Amino acid sequence: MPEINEFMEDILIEPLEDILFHVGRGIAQSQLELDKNSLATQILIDNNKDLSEAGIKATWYHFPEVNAELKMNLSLHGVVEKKEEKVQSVKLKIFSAPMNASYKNTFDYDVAGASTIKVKIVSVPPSIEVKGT
Amino acid sequence: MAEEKEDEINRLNLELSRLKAVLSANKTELEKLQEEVGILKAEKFTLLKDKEILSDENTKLKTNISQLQSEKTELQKRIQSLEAEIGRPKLLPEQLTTSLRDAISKMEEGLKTEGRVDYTIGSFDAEIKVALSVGDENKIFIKLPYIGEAVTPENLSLIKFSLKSIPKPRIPLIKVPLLIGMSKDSAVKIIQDMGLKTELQERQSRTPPGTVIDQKPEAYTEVAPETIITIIVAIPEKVKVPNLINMDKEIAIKIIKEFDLEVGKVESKLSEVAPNTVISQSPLPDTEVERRSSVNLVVSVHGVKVPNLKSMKESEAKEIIVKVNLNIGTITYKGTLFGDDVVISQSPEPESEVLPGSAINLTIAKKLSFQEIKDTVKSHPEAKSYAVLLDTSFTALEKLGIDKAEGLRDILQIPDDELMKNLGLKKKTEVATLKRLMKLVFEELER
Repeated sequence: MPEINEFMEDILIEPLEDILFHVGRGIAQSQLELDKNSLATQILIDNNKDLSEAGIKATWYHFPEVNAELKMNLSLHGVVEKKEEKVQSVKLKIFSAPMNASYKNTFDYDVAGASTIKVKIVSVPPSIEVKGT
Repeated sequence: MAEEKEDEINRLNLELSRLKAVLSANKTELEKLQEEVGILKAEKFTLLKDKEILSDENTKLKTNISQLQSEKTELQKRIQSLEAEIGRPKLLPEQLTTSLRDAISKMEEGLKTEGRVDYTIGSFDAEIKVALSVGDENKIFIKLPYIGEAVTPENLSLIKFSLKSIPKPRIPLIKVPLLIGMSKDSAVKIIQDMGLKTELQERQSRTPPGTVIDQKPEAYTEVAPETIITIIVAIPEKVKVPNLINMDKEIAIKIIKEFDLEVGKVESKLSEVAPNTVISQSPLPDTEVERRSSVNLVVSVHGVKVPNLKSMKESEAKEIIVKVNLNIGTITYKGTLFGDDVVISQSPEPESEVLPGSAINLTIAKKLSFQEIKDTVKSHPEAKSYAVLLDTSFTALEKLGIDKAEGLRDILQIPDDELMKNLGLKKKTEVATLKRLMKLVFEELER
């Protein structure tokens, strides 16, 4: 078992913050894709005389609210921070492994012992700051 | 025969008695041995009993050993699990919240988009199953199961975190004013008074220098306070000065104007090259200068020889100066005893070569009247204490008819006694003083 555990640790678990970062990045990327799609539509309309003269505009989408419920097995690991090959410090970090059927079967894990993180992400009005023109 | 038999009987009796004795001894021995056998048998019995007991004990002990061995294994397992428990990473509650905070801020970072819409975490609820333990100083530590570790959910505690974002207050926006056309200083003041920041940039332009010619962001854009407004200020356009050397003056002036420059001072300098040729210029060719700045030229010219004007009458000298293409400079008149209205010195000196039109300064001799000489003598610094003597002497001279400048020179030749008498002076020293003062003034006038 220990060998399997180490192997699973290597491929399954990631620092909690990285997992949450990727969840956030995923939403941002999705928004970017939505915008790209709308932009492409708008360009299409602009290039079509009939459509543009008819005053048709592309629809722009965004997610007013995103709810994510992440079930995961949290564990603590010391992360060694090195500088120029010398150990600077060992920091405890929360690592998480997503709870799924595979994990449950591999480790015969009781789901009732898993932690849950629920995140609600909301869209905010476009930034009021004028970015460098 | 009988004897032999008797002897035999005796021998046999003896043998019998010996055998009896032996038998009796053996009997005793046998009895002893039998007794010993009895003892040994009893001992054997005891030993057999003991053996039985011991083998029973052996069996019991073997059972005990196997029990102890299994107990030992159990204990070893427990020790191992306890050791693992000790080595298990544990967190203080504040470390857990810090970790969550880091995770949230990392998530916010992930949510940042370059797109149209921004996202933020509205709420964050975490239900974390943890094992609690009490450590030193009764501090509560949080432990989490190892990956893949079999956990009994009932033994785990549940920590619930619920975090909500607080929206930042909306900052009032400022409308950027139109700054184009203003002077740099006024634009900067207006921007700063509005709570914005400025950054200055320069651009070559024909607009008067220091005028704002562009701005970023554009006018009427709404921006947050402290936003940097870039002001582009006009600086004069630069022009490379053309090479004008060896050109004719008129052509050089034309070129200067074509380059949007201005003709500055044009000076003449004596030179062997053809007249009116540019022999030097400032700034030098290829120098970068502001548009409309002046270019000074030095043009060649052939010189004029200054005529000798000394001893000429003033009018005559002036006529000659004009004739040789020179100008009349400063005329200074110098009072003298003799020689009226003639040039006594000139500058520049005769025969020197000068630029045409150069000014010639003249010093003209002007004959002093009797009264002027009298005043000059009286006002001489050394004559201050002799006012009475001089008044007396000049009055006497007038009475004697010596009232012309020429005559005054001659009184220095008159012997002291005669002069003392003629002038009605009382002491010889007075005559000497008078003569000394007159001599001083005459010498100065003739110098």
